[in-house]
Amino acid sequence: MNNQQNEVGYVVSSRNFLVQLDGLPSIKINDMVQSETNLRGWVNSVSETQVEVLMVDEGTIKPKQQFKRLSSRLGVMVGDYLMGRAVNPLGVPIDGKGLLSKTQANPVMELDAEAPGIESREFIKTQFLTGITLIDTLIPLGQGQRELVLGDTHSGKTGFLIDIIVNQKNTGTICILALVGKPAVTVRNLIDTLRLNKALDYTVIIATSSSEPAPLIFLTPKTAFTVAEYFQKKGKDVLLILDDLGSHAKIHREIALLGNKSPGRESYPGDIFYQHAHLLERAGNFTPKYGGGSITALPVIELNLTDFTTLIPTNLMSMTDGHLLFKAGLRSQGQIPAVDISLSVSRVGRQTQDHVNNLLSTRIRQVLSQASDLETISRFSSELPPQTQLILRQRELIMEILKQEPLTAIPKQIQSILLALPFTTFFQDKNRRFIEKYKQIIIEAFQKNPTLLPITKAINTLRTDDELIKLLEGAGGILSKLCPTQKAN
Amino acid sequence: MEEILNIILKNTYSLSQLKHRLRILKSNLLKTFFGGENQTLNSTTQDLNWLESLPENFYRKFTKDNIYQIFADLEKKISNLPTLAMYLTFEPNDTTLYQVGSVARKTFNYPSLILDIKLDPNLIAGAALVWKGVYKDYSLRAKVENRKAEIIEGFKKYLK
Amino acid sequence: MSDLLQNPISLILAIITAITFLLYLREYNKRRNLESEGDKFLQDIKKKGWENLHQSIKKSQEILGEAELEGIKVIAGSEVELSKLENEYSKKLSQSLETSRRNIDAAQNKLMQFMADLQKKSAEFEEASKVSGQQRINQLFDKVENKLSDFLVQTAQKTSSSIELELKASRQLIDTYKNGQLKLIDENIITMMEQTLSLVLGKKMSLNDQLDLVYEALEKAKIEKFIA
Repeated sequence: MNNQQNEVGYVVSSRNFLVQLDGLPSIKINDMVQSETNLRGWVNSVSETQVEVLMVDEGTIKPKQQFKRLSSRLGVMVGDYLMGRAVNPLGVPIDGKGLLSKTQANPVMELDAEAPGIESREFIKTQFLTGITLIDTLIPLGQGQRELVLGDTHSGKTGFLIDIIVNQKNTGTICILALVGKPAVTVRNLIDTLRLNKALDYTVIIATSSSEPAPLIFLTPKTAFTVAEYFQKKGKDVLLILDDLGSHAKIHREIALLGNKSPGRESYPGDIFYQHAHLLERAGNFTPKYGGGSITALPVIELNLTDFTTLIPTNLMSMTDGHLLFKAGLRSQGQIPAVDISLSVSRVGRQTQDHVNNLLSTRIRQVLSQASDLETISRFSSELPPQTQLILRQRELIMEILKQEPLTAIPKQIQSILLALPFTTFFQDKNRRFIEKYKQIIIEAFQKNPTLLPITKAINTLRTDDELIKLLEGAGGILSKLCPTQKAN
Repeated sequence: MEEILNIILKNTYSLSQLKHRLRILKSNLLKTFFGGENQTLNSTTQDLNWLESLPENFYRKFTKDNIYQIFADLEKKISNLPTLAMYLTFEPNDTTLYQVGSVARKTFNYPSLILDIKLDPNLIAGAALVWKGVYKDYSLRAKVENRKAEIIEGFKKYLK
Repeated sequence: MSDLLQNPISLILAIITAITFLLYLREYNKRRNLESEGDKFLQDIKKKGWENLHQSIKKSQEILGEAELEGIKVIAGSEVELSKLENEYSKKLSQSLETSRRNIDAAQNKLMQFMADLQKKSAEFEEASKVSGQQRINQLFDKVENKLSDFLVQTAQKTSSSIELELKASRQLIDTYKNGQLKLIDENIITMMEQTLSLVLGKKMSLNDQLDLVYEALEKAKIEKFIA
């Protein structure tokens, strides 16, 4: 294209943010165009006579306005300068900290990249540690896994995700948080929370508020994945959180209905599955030849009253490697994180967990399922055999141990110890109050007390969970000294 | 069909002019076919002149039955005509339009070429053309931009 | 008696009683004999006992007398020994006292000498150390002076070189800024010229001239085959 010649198109019709142009003879999908009034848009679809453009800048479009073709395609400039900043999907900073320190060397990566094929993927072997006991032992995540986070409103999903980000401090993992159409106040609060917890240095935030044009909101997950791929190709491990894909689906539906595409089930367009699937396929664990890093994706979807049988949740459940179901009811009962263990699954996590933790989690799941079977009986009969009482008490202890306050992190060895404790004789007669009172003291004891420290260190050498339980029997004496109970119960 | 279009196009050079003339032709014909004496047309003398210049057999082609059909076909055909968009620094009146249009048709040997005149005063003089979606600037502005360096050199001679 | 002989049973009984009576008489005699023997024996024994007792008393008295004699001898002997020991002990004690007194005197003398020597030596040492101390201080001062002067020279050089670098950098910045501004100014000139031209030509250029330019554009487009 020489400097005097440029392709142009003229507006034939416009509807809100959707503009039909004619002309632009050699335009391709995902090229950028700009109007005379400097409003930009990207080409969404091309038909025989017309070109459909979605506007990313807000402004009035008049018929017969001229649109010039720009030399750039739909892409965003990526680089290390993005860390600690909040940007919109086109790379413009929105956190008020001034211009981005870009250099000429920063590449511009296209938003719509094809997901790498099978030859670039590697078996997921390392566990992704979240620092939250319930996840790391019972529903373990692997580096490169896609795990769907579903739940009602106010079930604690956002707090849980913030905890995971804060607990990645000093692990070298880069966190990318994509906020799709959230209110501007929420975006501001999240940025401030992360800054207070010193988690902003290794986090990139890509946010659109609900007042921005729909095409811009639609682009948010694509930008998030593009930035994630940039870091992954440098060999880093990336955590990508998409909050939330339900809004993204609604925006896609809005754009499609406005463009007169035929509505399908629940009025979503026919390619809604493709939109989410081709995004989530870009996550995974990659071989060194393709960069070597990994992208762990945690898409979020908000449900109505725990009904996960509607279209979008079922779609997302089929394209992810497991899901975590959050229930508002559990949260109001005091269990934080409010994950329903029996309904949540991680299909990839087992192969990443070490043997002891695997056996321990199997044992705990057995106890929990037995206890739920016995629960109905326990409500009716007053005199239960001691075995039943033991199982019910163990379940109480386990659920109390699994509760974790927001913004706390528990190291992996301590998690194993805490979950093996209900199976020792020392804890057989303790109840929930005991754990509630002394949990913090027990955790500190296993981290600092010189007699208990060898147990903590020896965990990596154990082979079965029975050995761990036997080791902990020996600690019973010290624990009873540290946690005095009144015998009068 | 072809003949009607050709007769109309003989004197019309710009798209807006064409659409305007079609509109008054249609309203005139409808008035003759369906309207009464009370309805008058708001048309300028130029329009009336053009209407009167149309030959007699032209009007005979239109009957009550085919008038709508004819106009629908005409509109379809017009959208397929080769259209040259031209950006001028001024808004031409009828005579200027006639001159420009005829020159254009002669130069490109397109007897049915239709111009789409747009106004862009930023072109200092001359015109910019758009053909089949490609825009090329032949105006004075483009020439100045091309010769920027030389012009600045010339200016600098007047500096110290 | 004939009754008795006629009855065998009573005969037997009478025999039996006669036998038993005889037996009893025998026994009684035996016992009497025994008793008399016993009495004799007892008397013998008594006699012997009294004899033994007499003898033993005599012997024991003899022994007691000997023992007393012995004891007196021993005591006398030990007193003599004791007095001998005392004399020897006192002699030895006095000897050792003498020797120790002499040693103490000798030691005292040595100590005094030693102290005197020590005083002398310490005085010498003080003087020597003063002198060497002064020397060292002088040396130190010299070194410090040298080092300081070197350091000052170096820092002067460094600061001057860094200042030069800074100057260069800032001059470069100024240059680039100047160039950028000049370019802007040039562009502004062009823009101003364009605007002036457009205003002027819009007012002053005749329609024919405008049209000529338009035709020229059309011609050019034809030549460049821009329009087929």
